[in-house]
Formats: sequence, structure tokens, C-alpha cells
Amino acid sequence: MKNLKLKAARAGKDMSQADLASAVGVSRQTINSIEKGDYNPTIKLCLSICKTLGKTLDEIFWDDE
Amino acid sequence: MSNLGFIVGIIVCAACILILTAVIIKIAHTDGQKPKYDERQMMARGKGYTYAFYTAVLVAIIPCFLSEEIKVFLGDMLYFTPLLAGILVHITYCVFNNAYLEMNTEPKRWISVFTCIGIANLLIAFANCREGFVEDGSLKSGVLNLSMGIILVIIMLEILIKSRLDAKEVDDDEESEA
Repeated sequence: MKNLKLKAARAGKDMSQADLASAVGVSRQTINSIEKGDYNPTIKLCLSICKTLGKTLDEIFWDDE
Repeated sequence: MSNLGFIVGIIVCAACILILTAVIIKIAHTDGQKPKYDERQMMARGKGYTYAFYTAVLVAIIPCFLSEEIKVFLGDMLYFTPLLAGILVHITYCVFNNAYLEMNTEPKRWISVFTCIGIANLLIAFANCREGFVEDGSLKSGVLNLSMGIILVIIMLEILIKSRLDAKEVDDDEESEA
């Protein structure tokens, strides 16, 4: 399932996938895979992404449905 | 005399294994270096190794069902084919999962490296096998160079295709955000 919350939060910060990838220390393709829902990141990477985007885990990774 | 040779062989072999183990341990415990692969890439590489292992095992079983004439014809290739098949499967899987090249590595450099090594192997193969690839009813060792050359060209093409697909993916992503 696509992670549109992550994409929206990233766009809200005016960051490209490459910018976010560089900030959290992963490859651009990894961020792309997370946004497409192809890869489930570890809690360590989730926290790193949340800190970079200034969001909580719930705001980005919690599935409302 | 032969006993002494055997002992020296064992010592040299043990020394090689110790050195190799020390190098691997040193590499595995090197701290403070920037990670080369991220967590998704490590996972993909692990899967790639698994598929490569099973491929190598399956290809290694094939000779059991071949006749003696074919085994003699294949010669050394009988032993190298499982390795080559495993390597090709691992690299193909990793390339198409963005886990072959290290993080943020420019693929152009690797494409040129693979092209050079591939062409060198093909040249060696054709130089060795100017009078044919078969000698005394079995394949010449030059066929191994030919196989390596072909595999490297395939890898180069795979990296090229994948980098084109990635570039297109970035364009699409930027367009959807605009």
C-alpha cells in the first residue's frame, strides 16, 4: 500500500526523494520503495525519517484504515 | 619427500585460510566508516545470495543427468557453469533491486569498468580460440573467458537499463509533485 503521507510530508518540506534519502542516510530508491509501499522500513529508519520531516511516527506511518 | 610436500601444502593452505579469515573479520568489524549499502539494499542482497545459491546447486545437479560424452565435451565448464550461473543470478537480482551498486554510486563508472573487463575477456577468448572452441573433443579453457566476457556485457547492459529506468522514475516523480 502506498505511503502517501510520507510523500505529502516530504513535499511539504520541499524535499526531493534524493534530499530525504541523503538526510537519513539511505539510497533514493529506498525512499521511493517506502513511498510505493514496496518496502517496510525498520523502526530505526522510520524514526530517522520522522525526525528529518518534523513529524511523529503516527503522522507518517500509522495506517488509519 | 612427498610427505614433506604434503605437510608444506597443508601449512600453506592453513595460512591462506587464516589470512582470509582475518581479512574478512577485519572488514566485518570496521567501525566508523560510512555504510556502503542501506538496510533495504542489504536485505535485497541477502535474497540475491539465496537465489544465487539455489541456482548454483540446481545447475550443479544437471551433470548427473548428462551422458559421459557431454561431460567430456564440457570439460572444465562443467565445474564453472554453476558458479557463473549463480553469479549472474545474484548480480541480476541485485541490479534490478538497486542493491548491486553501493549507495549513491554513479553507474557510469561501473559501466565503463564492466565494459573494459568484458571486452578484455572476449579478446582473450577469441585469441585463445582462433582455431575453434573445441580441442580433443572438449571445450578449450578460452570458453571460460568467453563466458565471463558475455556475463560482464550482460551486467553492463543491465546496469544501463536500470539506470535509464531510475532516471525515468525520478522524472515521473518530479512531474507528479509539480
